[in-house]
Amino acid sequence: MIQVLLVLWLAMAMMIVFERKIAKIIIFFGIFSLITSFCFLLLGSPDVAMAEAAVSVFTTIFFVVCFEKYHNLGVDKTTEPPPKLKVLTFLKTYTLPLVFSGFLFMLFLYFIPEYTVNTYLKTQYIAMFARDVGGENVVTAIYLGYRVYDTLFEALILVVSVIAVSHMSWYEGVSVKDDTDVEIDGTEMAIFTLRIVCPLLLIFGIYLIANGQLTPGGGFQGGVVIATFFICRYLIYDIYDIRIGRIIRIEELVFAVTTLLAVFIVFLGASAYMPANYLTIFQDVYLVLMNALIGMKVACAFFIIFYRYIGIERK
Amino acid sequence: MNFEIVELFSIILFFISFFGLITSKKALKSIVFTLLLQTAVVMFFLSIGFGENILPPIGEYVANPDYVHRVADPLPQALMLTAIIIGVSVSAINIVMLMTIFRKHKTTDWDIIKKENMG
Amino acid sequence: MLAYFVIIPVLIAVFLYLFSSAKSGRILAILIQAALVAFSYYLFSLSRVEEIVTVIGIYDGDLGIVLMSDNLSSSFILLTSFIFLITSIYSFHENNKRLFWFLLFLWEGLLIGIFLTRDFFNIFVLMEVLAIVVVILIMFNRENRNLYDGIIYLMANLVAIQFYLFGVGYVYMITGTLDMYLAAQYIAQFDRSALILPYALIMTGIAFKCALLPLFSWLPKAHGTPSAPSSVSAILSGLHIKSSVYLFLRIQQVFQDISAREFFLVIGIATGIVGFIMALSQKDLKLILAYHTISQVGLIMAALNIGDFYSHIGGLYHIFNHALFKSCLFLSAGVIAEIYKTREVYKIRGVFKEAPIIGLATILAVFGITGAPLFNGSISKYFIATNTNWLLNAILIFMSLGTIISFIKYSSILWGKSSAGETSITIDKCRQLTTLILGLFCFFGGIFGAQFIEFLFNVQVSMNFIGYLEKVLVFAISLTVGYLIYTHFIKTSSLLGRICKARLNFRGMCASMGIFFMAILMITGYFYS
Repeated sequence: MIQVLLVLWLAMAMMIVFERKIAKIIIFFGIFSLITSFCFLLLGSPDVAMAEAAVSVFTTIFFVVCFEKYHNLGVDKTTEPPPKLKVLTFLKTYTLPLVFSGFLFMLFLYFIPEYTVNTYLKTQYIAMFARDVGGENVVTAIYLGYRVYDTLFEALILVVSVIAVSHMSWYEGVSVKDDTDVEIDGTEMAIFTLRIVCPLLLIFGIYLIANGQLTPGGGFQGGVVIATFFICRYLIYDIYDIRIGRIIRIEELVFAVTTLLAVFIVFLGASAYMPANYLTIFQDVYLVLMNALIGMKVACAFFIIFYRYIGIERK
Repeated sequence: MNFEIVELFSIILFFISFFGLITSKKALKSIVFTLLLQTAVVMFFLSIGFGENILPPIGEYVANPDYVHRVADPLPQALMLTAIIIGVSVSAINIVMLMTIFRKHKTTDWDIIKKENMG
Repeated sequence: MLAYFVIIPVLIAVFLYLFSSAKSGRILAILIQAALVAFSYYLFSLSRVEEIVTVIGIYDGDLGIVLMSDNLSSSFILLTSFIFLITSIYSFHENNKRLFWFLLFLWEGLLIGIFLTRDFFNIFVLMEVLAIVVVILIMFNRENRNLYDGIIYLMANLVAIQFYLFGVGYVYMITGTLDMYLAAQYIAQFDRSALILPYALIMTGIAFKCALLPLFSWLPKAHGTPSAPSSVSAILSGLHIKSSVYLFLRIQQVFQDISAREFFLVIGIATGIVGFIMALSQKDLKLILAYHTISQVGLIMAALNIGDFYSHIGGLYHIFNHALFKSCLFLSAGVIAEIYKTREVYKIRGVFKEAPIIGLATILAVFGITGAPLFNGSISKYFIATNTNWLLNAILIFMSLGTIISFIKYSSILWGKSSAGETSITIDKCRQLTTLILGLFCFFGGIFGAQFIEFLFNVQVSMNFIGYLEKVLVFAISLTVGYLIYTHFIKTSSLLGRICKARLNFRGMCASMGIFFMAILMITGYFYS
């Protein structure tokens, strides 16, 4: 099963490499991410599969908006290359890089070490997580317990990238077509579908966050799903007067609260002081709270990035 | 040479996207290839300890000693969650910078952007 | 306890951004920076005695993330907090935007995080956050920014870091741990040939970050871009690049058995030579300094890989010296560019008349970087060359000659009739003070060289007076030779003008990463399998 998927996966990647039209590349990339997420599921990691699926929605949206803006922001002055590839030019441009990366690939294969996979840490985590962190999902236990330090920086990267996106999208030139936004013209059917899907998305996102410690999913996946809920609302109701500065402030405040919570509970080891009969409840509350905070943060961040993308013509 | 099938495929993808990176002239294509490169690495991490009939590390059976050898390694999964989010946020910044560059230079061709920046 | 050195600056950054007004925030920021210097000195004095190791959380050591502070990392932390304090005093009046102070604090916390961490994956996360913080800061002034520099920096970083992450995957697969210390212990039990691939992958990423020979094209773009405030350029060249050198040292320790010393020695020397040749061909003040950073990092890498105790100490001391004089040069170049409203070397004359204190700081730093007697550069260069054979010695003298030539060109801005317009800008007191302090540190670092080395690295070194006198003689000779070469060849040469245009594009950068990876894989594979 997984072999078939992997062959498809590589075929898709090859099509992306040799395709010349940007629009097709974006579509292929969406399909590629879907296959990737199925592969992750078959590799026994539903958490990552869900994250990949949710995130790939966003990357595809980003690419589509970028492509759309190409037409809004001005005409590409480089003429498109002739659509038909001639054999000679193909060989000229691709032979040397092909030989080089093929050679690197063979070299890589030659040096792959003789090893036996060391499973010491895996058995340790599986044995200890219920006592140390709680919950039933080992992955959640690792990223909210053992490696919460990394997770804080991951949350920080979203804060910083939101700032970066709003900083970079500034342009000194004349704003082009100030009043146009993404038009969803004549797609009543799409709006209708969105209206039905929209509340489902919210419920799904909240479910993912609330059950993060028991089932696949968690703050990140749920947060991304909730961000898509907000985007759907934006598309349905055409809201223009969103105060983006306030959302950024909320996001940073949530980040600070997350950090403080992690510091007080994990760094200082608060669970060591808990009486034994309250310990499970305490751990569950911590995990749900952490997931909810991270979910809020991620939802805010992705919505702001999307909003900046859509409104790149505005100041 | 000693590898599992998933590992082999992820290495192939790594070099396919490397090939793409050293040939693509369009900046947007390069951004897509960096994401492919990232996916290859994620796939490699998840393939660590892969075997037939693998089970996700979630649920009550995890602690059961009969199942331990069949449960997937949870640590790479937790790491890759982080890596995926990092990848998408960096790509978002890249795309927005590309859009601003496009507004200024009206092109996404690396060579032309470079030439206009030098002159 | 160690985690708070990272978490507290980050939290302070967020709170300052959220709750403070611009004016009070600045004063508060500088007070907190000063407190951080005091705390890092406290940490330094503790770590000199013994290593401090903390696990985050109350978990067993190999499950959680481990932070460690020993003599080396705590001295780097001391340097970090010092340079950040100086640069934030420098930009006290320059930048009243809250965003700037937010990013500055984040940057400080994350750099300290890099110096403290012992976890492979944590390094990956920190480096990515750092890359984004840096890219915002170098694109900070929106009016004159050049986004091409930023996108090249970020995308090439993303590609390089994937090589690193792939290597970490193999390390985890083989050893079953992500902790550097434990990994080094497990690795000792393995056959050496098993480690070649992860070593090559990880080193490709780190060498990109260190801007070694084929991989340095991103550095002058990032460090010399016009939109970056000069304090940001100073930290980038002085400190940020050193964090990668620090990681290089740590990872070499992990892969002790197969560390390709000779390879990195050769690469370091080549980087040094190419760096100053590129620097000679530049006209822009900041770009000259940026290319010199490449050259000096090459020298440091060469020194650290000679394999001799004295050279190692000399290389480490040169890291600190370079941080001092390079940040001094960048800060003063910022002021000079503001006075003259241009950054072209040939159009600026008479800095001593226009701004004597800035000129004094510049000349002190120039003496430091060229290794003039009594200045700190000479001490570190002396130790680097102590126990080397004649060939290496000659190469080091040649590299130092190149530095001298291009700084003769650079310091020509100091003398002559002032070429500034009638507009007289009053120079900020804070700026004069900070550049002068850094310049004086360059001087005292030379006079009390041995004491500084003992203070920082806790080792006793002694200097041979005759050997040092020999160095003085060599410096005098190379100064004359350099002056002659500069007036007779460099000024009239047209070849250099063509070199100055040579830069790789994004495809070329990715290809050079592949070439570097191939080279290090084949060489380590040939010698160690």
